[in-house]
Parts: sequence; C-alpha cells; structure tokens
Amino acid sequence: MTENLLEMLTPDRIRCNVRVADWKEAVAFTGKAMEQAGLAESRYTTAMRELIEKEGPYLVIAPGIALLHARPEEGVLKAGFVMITLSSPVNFGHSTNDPVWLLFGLAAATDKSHVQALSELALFLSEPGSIDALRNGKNEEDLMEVIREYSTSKSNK
Amino acid sequence: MEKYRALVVCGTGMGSSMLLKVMVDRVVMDNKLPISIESDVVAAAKSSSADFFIAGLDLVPTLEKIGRPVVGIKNMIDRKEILEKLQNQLDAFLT
Repeated sequence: MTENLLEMLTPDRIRCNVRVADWKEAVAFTGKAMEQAGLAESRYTTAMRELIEKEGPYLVIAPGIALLHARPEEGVLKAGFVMITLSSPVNFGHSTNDPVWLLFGLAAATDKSHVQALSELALFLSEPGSIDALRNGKNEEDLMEVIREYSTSKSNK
Repeated sequence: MEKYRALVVCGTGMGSSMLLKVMVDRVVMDNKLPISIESDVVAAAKSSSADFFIAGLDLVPTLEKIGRPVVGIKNMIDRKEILEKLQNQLDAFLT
C-alpha cells in the first residue's frame, strides 16, 4: 500500500449509490467489494460485523461516515481500502453520528504503510469541502474526480 | 513544559483509533500542545500509564469506568473539535 490516495482508491475500489436495507447489508456489501478487490477473504466480512456487534458502532468515526475493519489476521490478503456511498443512509446505532452514507472498508495491516494510508485518508476527509464533494457524486467517475482533484491540488502545493 | 500522556483507544487498535491518532497527532503538532500520544485497544487501556484517554463518543462510558479523564470525540476528522476538547482537558489538568 502506498501513501498516495489516488493509487489507493483505484476505480475498482469505489462503489457509488449502493442500495442496502440496513447496516448489516452495508457491512456485507463492503466486505464483498473488498473480496472483489482482492483485499480480504470472506471471513473478514464476518469479523467486521462481529466487531460491531461486540464493541458497538464506534467505527462510525464522524457524522455519516463509517470506517469498517477487523484485525489483520482475520482474513486480510492485501492492505488497502474500498470506498462506498449509499443511495439511502442507514443507522448503525451510534449515539450521535447516524445515519451513515459513506463507508470505508479497511483491510488493516500491521506495517507502517497502513498508518501512512490512514493518515492520507484522514487528511483528505478533514479537508474542507471533501465530504460535500463526495456526497454530491452521482457515480463512480464523480467520486474518482474528487480524489483526483484533491491529489492534484495537494501535489501542486 | 510537562507532557501529558494520552492513549487513543478503539476496539481493535487498527482502524478508527489509528485514524483518530493521526488526526490528534496533527492537531497536537500544529498547535504545539504538551501531549504525547499512543494508541491501543480498549482492553489495554486500564493497564496503560496514560494520563487520559481519547476515543470516539461511543467508547466513553466504558473508558470512564477506569477512573481517568476521557476525551470523547464526536467527529474524528474535525480538527477544530479535537483541538477544543484537548485544550479543555489540558485546562482541567492545570486547575
């Protein structure tokens, strides 16, 4: 995994306007996307769901945003993450940050590149305007464009 | 100036706590706050030597049982919220 957001969030790792009925379906879909991207085995999906059932929805890291993950030894094949937006938001049972419309599925690793990737993601999300731009995305190409613009503006600084 | 030790906490220590640690690191660095930061899982919080804990709001009740101050962050990607709450905690230590 590199520290460049553009290299991490490739088109095959992005899904836009996905329709799910509840948080469990959202987790299942995210896990499936991670499997398809070659990031994790199917048991990682189960582990992500069980973590929420056991520890609560603390993975809803900000209003509307969930960072799903389990532990590296629970089926990670390759470090990286997928990004998914929902057509209608779902509740995770979080005390303040429901409902969730933006999900990241993180294949967690133990090495330093993992931290670099996460910090890159965190800085992108904390940039004013990033969240709104993602929310307005109508399809995968729109979402890619948001990432591309951010990466370009950053490398020009 | 004396440094306070903070432990950023999450269920696995791999995801949200790591992300929160990145953001807290950033805020601490940008504002030169006297805080050193580590991250770990909830289960390790009790035996850690941290002066206070930082976590998402939903973990606050669990951490409060340990009997050390807890800074609960609602929006982990909001630098302003993180800065305000860290400053409040530092003020609380000094009074």
